[in-house]
Amino acid sequence: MVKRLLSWAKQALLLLVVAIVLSGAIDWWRSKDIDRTNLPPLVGTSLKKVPIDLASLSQDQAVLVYFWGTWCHVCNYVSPAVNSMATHYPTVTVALGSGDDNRMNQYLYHHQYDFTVLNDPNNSLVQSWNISVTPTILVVKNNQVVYYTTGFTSLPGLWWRMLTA
Amino acid sequence: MPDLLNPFFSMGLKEKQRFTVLLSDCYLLESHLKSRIFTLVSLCLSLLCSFSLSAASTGWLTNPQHPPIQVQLTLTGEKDVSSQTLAAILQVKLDGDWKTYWRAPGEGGIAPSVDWQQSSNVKQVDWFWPVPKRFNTLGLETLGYQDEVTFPLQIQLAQLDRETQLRGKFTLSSCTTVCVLTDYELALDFNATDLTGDSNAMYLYNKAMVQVPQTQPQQAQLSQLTWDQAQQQISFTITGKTWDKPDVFIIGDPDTYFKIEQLQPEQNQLKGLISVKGWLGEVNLEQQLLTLVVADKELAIEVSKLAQAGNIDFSAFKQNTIGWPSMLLIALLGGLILNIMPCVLPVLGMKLSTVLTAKNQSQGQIRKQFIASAFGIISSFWLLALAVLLLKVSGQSIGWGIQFQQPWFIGFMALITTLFALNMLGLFEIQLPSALQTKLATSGGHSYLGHYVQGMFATLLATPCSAPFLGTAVAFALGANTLSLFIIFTALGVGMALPWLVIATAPQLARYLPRPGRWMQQIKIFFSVLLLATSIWLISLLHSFVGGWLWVIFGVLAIGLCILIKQKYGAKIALICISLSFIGLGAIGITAALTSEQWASPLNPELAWHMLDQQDIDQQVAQGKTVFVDITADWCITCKANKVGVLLQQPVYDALQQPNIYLMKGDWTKPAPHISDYLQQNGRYGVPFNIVYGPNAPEGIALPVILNSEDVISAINRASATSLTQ
Repeated sequence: MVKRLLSWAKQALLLLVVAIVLSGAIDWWRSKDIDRTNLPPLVGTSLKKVPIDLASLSQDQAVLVYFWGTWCHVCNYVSPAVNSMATHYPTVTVALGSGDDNRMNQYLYHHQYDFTVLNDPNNSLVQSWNISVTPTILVVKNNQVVYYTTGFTSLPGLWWRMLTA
Repeated sequence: MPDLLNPFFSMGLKEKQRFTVLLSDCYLLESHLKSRIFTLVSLCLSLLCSFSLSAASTGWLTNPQHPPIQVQLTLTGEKDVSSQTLAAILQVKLDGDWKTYWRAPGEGGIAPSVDWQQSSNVKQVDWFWPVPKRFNTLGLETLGYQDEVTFPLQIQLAQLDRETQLRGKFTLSSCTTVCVLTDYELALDFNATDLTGDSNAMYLYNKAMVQVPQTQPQQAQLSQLTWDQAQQQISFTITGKTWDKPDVFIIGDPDTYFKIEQLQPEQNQLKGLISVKGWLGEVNLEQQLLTLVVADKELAIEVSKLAQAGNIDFSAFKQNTIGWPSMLLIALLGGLILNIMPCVLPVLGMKLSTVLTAKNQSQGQIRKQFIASAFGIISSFWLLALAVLLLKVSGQSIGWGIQFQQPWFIGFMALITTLFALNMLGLFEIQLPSALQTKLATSGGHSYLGHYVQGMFATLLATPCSAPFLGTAVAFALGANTLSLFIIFTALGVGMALPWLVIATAPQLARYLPRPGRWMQQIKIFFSVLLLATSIWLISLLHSFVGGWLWVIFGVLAIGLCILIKQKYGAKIALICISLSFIGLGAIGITAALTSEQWASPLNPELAWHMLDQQDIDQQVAQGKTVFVDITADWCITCKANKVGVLLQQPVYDALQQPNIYLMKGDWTKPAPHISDYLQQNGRYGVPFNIVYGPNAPEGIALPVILNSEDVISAINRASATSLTQ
C-alpha cells in the first residue's frame, strides 16, 4: 500500500517537474524581447487612492504585476487567481483601456475583486513598458523581472512563481 | 509630406529597423540586406515606394508590437457633392486565429474605434459595421470578425474644395487566447477635388456595404419589445417579413451582455427571447433604446425601439426541446445503429475476432471480456466528448468525426491497426515489461486489457460517419452544457456497446458461436488481412495531407512486412509470400478487368460538381435551377457507399445530369470552417449530408443519411419547378 502511494507520488512529482519545465520554457520564449533589468517606472495612484511605486514596493520582496482589461475575455479566468494571490502577496495590477475610475470601481465591486488597480484608460502608463498583450503577468523583485508570462495562468502557476522568486 | 514621416523620426533605432523591414515588403531583395548602409539605402527605396502609392491610401500599416494584424485606410474616390461626403474603407487583415470585434462585442472584447480629433477640414466620420460572426472562446461568446474585415466609412468634410488633413488614431483590439490593444496612426492628406476613383476600393466598399444592416421600415418593424425586470429578460416581435434562418444581434448598453435564448421564425414575424446580464450591478432597460440586427442569408436589417416594462408571456414560446428520456433513447438507438453503418467496415475484423475467440472459455471469462470491450467502446465516446469539449472551449468549429480531419490521428490509427494486424499474424509480439506481464498473468488482466483496447480503437475508427438518430443526439449534445454532453455521449457509447453488453449478461449465447478448431487459425489470417486493408485505407487517407509521400509510406510498409515474414518464417516462406501476393494481385486485377461486365453494374463516370458556395445556391435557385448539395469526406465510407450505390447509379445518375440540375459539393476531408458552419445551419454535425434546393423548396429538402434512389428522385421532383420526366 505504502509502496503504491510512493509510486503515485513519484509520478505526480514527475508530472509537476515536467509542467514547471514546460511552462518555464514557454515563459522564456514569450519574454525574450523584454528588457528584464531596466524596468521603466510604474508609479501612480490606485483606485483606492493609495500611492503606488513599483520600484520601492519590490525592494527585497517579490511583487506580482498583472496587466489586464475588462474587455479581455481570457482575463476573466486569470483575475480570480490574481485576487486570491493578492490576499497573501503584494500585488499591483494595471487595467488597460477599461474606462474611467467610476466604471472600474463598479466592475471590481461586481466581481468582488479586492486587488490594487492602477487604472490606465488611455494606455499611457503601459506605453513605456511596451506591453500590449493582456493578460500579462510579471513577478518583479528589486525592480527586476524574475518571471514573465502571458495568456492563461492558473493559481498554482502564479503561486510557484511567487514562491521561487 | 513631412507629417507622414514624423512617427518614423520619433522611433527608436530598433523600431526603425523593424519599420524598415515592414516597409520594404515591396522589395523582396531587401530582406537579404543586413548592414546599416544597406538599411539606409533600403529605407530610401521604401520611402520612394510608399510615395509612389496612390495618395488616397495609407497602404498596409503594421504595428511592430503586433505583426499578425495589418490595417489600411483607402478613399474610394467617390464623393457626394451635396452632402460634402467622401466614401472610404478601413480594412483590417488578421492572421490565423486572431479576431477583432463588432460594435457590440459580446461577452468580452472591445469594439475597434478611431479618434479623428487631430484632423482638419473634417466635420464628421460615420462608421458602418458589417454583420458579425459568433465566436466561442473559452466558453464566452464574442461577436466579431476573423481573417479580414472591411469597414465602410463616410467622411463628411467642412469644405469639399479645401485641403484636408485626415488624422486618425485607430485603436484595435484583437484576441486569440490573449488580447492585444494596438494603435495605428492613420494619416491622409488630400484635396477632395483632385481625387480619382479607385475601382478596387469602390468594389470593396460596396461589397462591405451589402453586409451592413439597413433600416427598412417597409420590410420589417419592431412591433413589440418588452423588458421583464424580474426575469432580466427581453421578449421581442419583429413583424413584416418571413425569415428563413435568422440570427439576431442586439446593441444596447456597452456593459450589458445579451444572450439569445430563443428565436422563433413564424409566418410574417419573428419572435425572440433574450436574457440580459450586466456587470455593473442589476440591469434596468426600461425606456432604453435597443437596436436589433436581424441577419438572414444576404439580407440584414436593423430595427430599434424603446424597451417597455412588462411581464413576458412565456407561453408564446414553444417548448421545442425534446425531453431527456426520449433524447437518451435517441442516443442509444443512434449508437446501436452505428454498428451496422458502412463506416464499421474497416474494423469488422477487429470486432469479429473478439467475438469468435469467446468460445471455449468459462462464462465468467466471457462476461468479463465483453464487459471490457463494452467499456472500451464507452471510453472512446468519453474521449470524443472530451475532445469536443476542448474544441468548444478553444472556439474551434466542432462536428462528428472531425478526428479524421487530423493527419496525426489517421497516422496514429494506421500505426495501431498495422501493429494489431502483425500481432494477429504472429509476426510481432507486444512485449510488455516482465513485471507488468507477470502481474497481468496472475490477475488474468492481460486479455481484458486487450479487449478493452480493441473496443476503444474499433470505436474511434468506426465513428467518422453520421447515422440516423445519431445526428439528432449529437446536435443536442453539442449545444448543451458539459454534463449533458457527457451523458449523451455515454448513451451513444452504451448504444454501440449494446450487443456486447447483451452477451455479457447472457454468456451462454456464446455457445451458439461455431466450435473453435483449425479454422480459427485460418480465420485469424483472414482477419489480419482485413486489418491490413484497414491500415492501407487509413494511410491512403493521408494522401490529402502528404501527397506523393504516400507511396514511400506504402513501400516502407511492404518492405517491413517482408522482413518480418522472413525473420519469423524464413526466407523461403517470405519469397513464396511475396511472389504469391504479386501473382494473386495480378490475377485478381486481370480477372476483375476481364469479367467485370458480367458481375458489376458498371460505374458511371464521376459527375461534374461545383464547389459549395451558399450565395451561389440562392442565385441558382433564383434562376429556376434545382441545386443538389453533397457534403462528403474521403474518410466517410457511408458517403462512398451513397455515391457508388445511389448517386452514380440509374435513375439518379441521369436525373442529376438534367440541364436544370446544379450540383454542388463540399469536401470536409480537411477542416473547413465554411462547411462546418453550413452543416450547423442545417442542424447537422457530421457527414454525409445531402440536401436539394429548388424554386419550390428554397429552404431545401434534407435527405436521409443513407440515400436511396426513391428519396433522391422524389426530393428533386418536389424541389424543381418542373417535374422530371422519366
